[in-house]
Amino acid sequence: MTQIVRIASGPSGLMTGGEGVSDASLDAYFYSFTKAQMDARAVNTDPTTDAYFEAMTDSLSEIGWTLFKAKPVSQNVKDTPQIPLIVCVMALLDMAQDGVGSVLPIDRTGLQGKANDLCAALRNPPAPVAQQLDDWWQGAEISADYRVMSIGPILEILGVPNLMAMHLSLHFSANSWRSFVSPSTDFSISARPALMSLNWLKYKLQEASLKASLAQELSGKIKTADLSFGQTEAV
Amino acid sequence: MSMSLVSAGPSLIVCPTEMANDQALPLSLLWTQGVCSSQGLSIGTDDYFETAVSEMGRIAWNVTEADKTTYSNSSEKTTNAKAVTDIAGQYLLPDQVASLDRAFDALSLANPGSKVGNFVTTWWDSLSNQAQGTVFSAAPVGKTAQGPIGTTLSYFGFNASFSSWQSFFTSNTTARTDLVSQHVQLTLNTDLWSRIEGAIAQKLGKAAIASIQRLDL
Repeated sequence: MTQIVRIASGPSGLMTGGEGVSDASLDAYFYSFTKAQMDARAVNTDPTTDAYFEAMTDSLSEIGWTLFKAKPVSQNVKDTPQIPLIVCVMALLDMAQDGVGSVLPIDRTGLQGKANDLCAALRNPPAPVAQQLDDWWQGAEISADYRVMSIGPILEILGVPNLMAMHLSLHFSANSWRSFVSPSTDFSISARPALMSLNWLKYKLQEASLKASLAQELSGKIKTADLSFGQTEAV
Repeated sequence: MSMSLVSAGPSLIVCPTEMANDQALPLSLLWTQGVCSSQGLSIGTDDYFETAVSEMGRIAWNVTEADKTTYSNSSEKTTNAKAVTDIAGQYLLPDQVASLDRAFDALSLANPGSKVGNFVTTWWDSLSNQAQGTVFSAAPVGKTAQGPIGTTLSYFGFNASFSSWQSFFTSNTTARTDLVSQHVQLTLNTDLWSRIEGAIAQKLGKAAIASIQRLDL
């Protein structure tokens, strides 16, 4: 049995902020990603895979997004032993965003604050929470492979939409949930960020045909799709 | 803020009441159910989830976050519905978890009113709930910070089957129960949806759409 603790910061993705974006930027974002994810699904249907992430970002580049792909950063505990996993995770995310902060107003303080809050909460949880965690973890063989793909919200700077996508993979094993915040001895992690900024000129040249072709293609597939509402079996 | 439950097949949508008439997510979930079922996929399997997520992407929902997790619960004193909200707390916002908690609390009443009873009985009957286990999906839906509709679609699979919804929501289990949870965060491309919604509704047919239930809590 495996048991995995989720480390992403929540439904708002890995970045914070992103309000006050114009309708035009939102529209471009949605259509770009609908098309890019369609292309990515043709390569691999699992959005947590490297292949999906690569195909999606390649497609976005063709649509008009200028990509600044940072090199994947990775870390193995053998290189830096006795570091709590959560610290390593945050350090990697920080490294992944290195240089990005000067381009985008990423709330690094907020991100670090969330990590610190999580650490503090897990290091000294209220008794009922600790009991729940103990129950949850009890008897499990903790050996986890974890992958997450996260797309941050849009940040509009001088009318230009920007965002960052991240692919994160993690492997660790531990014998208690406390291993997550205590010094660990066996884990590895890698983060692959992609910072992107929309080239409006390039996008506008494709916008009309992109929207028309997506709607037309989808409508055609919907009309010819096979549907059934028979009883399905449980796992 | 008042809250509503909307069921679309085995899926339970938890939403603010002012969004309960929005058909985008119920129609989308019915659509994915129809596609997956036509391919003979069993709900709760990896193939079902991947196909469902792919299909949601095909009909204007963009994936903004995705991961895969499995959980083991060795506790001998877990209420199964509670385990769902405990685990959902790992990846939902606190107010979304609170909404799920409230919804499950409302469904767990020992003597629910006829309105609640009818809703939960109909929904429960549509679940995959056979000898091998129980599977359903849950999706808190709301507006994202940037305005569009967003949801986290989760499939929960238990390795135990439950003879009635009462046993799922109100009883504690003494046996080991493992829970598989698969989830993905989605945001709707509303402009594209408006272009294809009519075709989807037409293809689904009136009978399927009429199966969508709503309960205001």
